[in-house]
Amino acid sequence: MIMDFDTFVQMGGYAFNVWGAYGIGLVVYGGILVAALIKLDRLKKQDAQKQENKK
Amino acid sequence: MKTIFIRMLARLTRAQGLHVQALLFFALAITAVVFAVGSEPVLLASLMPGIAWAVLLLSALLGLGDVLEPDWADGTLDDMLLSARPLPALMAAKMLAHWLATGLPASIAATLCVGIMVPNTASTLPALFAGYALGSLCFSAIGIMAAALVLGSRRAATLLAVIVMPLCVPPLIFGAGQAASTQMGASPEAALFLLAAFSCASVTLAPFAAAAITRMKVTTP
Amino acid sequence: MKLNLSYFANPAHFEKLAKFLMPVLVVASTLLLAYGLCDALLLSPPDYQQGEAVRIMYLHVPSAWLSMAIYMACGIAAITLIVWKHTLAELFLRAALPAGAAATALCLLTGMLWGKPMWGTWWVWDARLTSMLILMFIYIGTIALTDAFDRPEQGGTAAAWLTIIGLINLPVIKYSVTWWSTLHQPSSFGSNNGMMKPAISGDMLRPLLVMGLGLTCYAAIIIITRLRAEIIARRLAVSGAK
Repeated sequence: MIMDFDTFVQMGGYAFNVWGAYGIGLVVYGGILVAALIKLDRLKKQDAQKQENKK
Repeated sequence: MKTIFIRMLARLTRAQGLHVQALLFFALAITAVVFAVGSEPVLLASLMPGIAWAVLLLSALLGLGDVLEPDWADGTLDDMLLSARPLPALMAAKMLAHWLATGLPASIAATLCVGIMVPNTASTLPALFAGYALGSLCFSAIGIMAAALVLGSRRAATLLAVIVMPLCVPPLIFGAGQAASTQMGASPEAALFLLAAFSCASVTLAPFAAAAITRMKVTTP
Repeated sequence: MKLNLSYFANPAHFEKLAKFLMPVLVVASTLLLAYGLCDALLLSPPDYQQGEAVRIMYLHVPSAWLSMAIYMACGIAAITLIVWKHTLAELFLRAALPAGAAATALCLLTGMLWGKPMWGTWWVWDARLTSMLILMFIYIGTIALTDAFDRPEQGGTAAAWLTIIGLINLPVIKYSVTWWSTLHQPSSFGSNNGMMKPAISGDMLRPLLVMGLGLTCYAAIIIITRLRAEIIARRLAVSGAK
């Protein structure tokens, strides 16, 4: 019993609430992972740089 | 034991200015709230015991900066660690001194506020005072733990406030519940019992926690 | 010298564990979240009372679980740091606390979006939301404490102590807030209290559990990534100081 496309988008009138909530979820949870990956990448580069300088 | 008491008294005399400040702050804060919500007697009568609790919590934040920070800065804390006296006892003395300087005067002021602004409360004032006094003792206990935590940090004052407030929620709720049920004529025993239980726990555990935290801070290079 | 060795030994073990876990977690969280989101947004039935708005629950409740579970994990790490002084425990604390804060924030925000159509206001001082708000303050305070010291180890230790104190206090806070809300709850909320907890039928339990599991795996990915970063950062800081 999959609902029709219209209900999916409108969420029975609660579109702002439901899609807003999942949108914020995407931004917050997605954002924190992206930030973590960027930070790890930057630090790995810094570490590699340091190893190079040591040699 | 006598040395601890003398030390406590010394703390108190240094805080001599503090209890005046605490009373002043309490009066000013209550006045500010009255300006903000309007002076309608019925409204104030229903809100006053609760407002007094909130202002009591804020008053507890006063003087927390003076409880441990000066000793940390001038090295007295190091001496305290080396002394034969157990550190938790010293922390307990500091906690009691802070309460005597801020919490107790504020509790008296709070009871007076309720007595003056809320009609028909004369008979309940002793119970209310007990509640305020117990609650502010909890705030001092939590306060000394928080003061130990922020030793040596930057922006210690704001950090102290942020740390203390959530932890003070249970005694605030139990105490305000006691005040509210006293006001409504219902039996305040449940709330008072919860408040007393929390104060027993916090007053006994806080000095040990503060001592352990301080010891760790002083001994780790 | 011994302290240095034990510090570097733990992260090496951790790195091996992380290398093994990460692919498993990535696959698991992708599958679980993909199915969970479909289930939450499409397959599961609308609620009898709340209609489609109940779908917010599938994000709100797992976030609440996550926020509490991460705090528990931080509590364990805090005890490990105080008792055994493993630096890795401190780094775990730095890695996990922001993730827990994010989950708490999301729980509050989705709670507000869920509450508006149900109760008519953005915020209601009901027991669960208020307890979550206090937890949010505790998370923020603890994170602020980690970064308030000149030497990061001091911040880590202070935060560990605060986490332990917070952990002990949390049941008391939860109890006191619940007690308080029963005193002040206007009677009209009595029936609506069920709004935050619709009767869980199997059709609704399934997406809830799948999202819960999926988000847990996802949170593990975030924490492990942050922990790897913290390890490198600490190593750089330690060697840079020499």
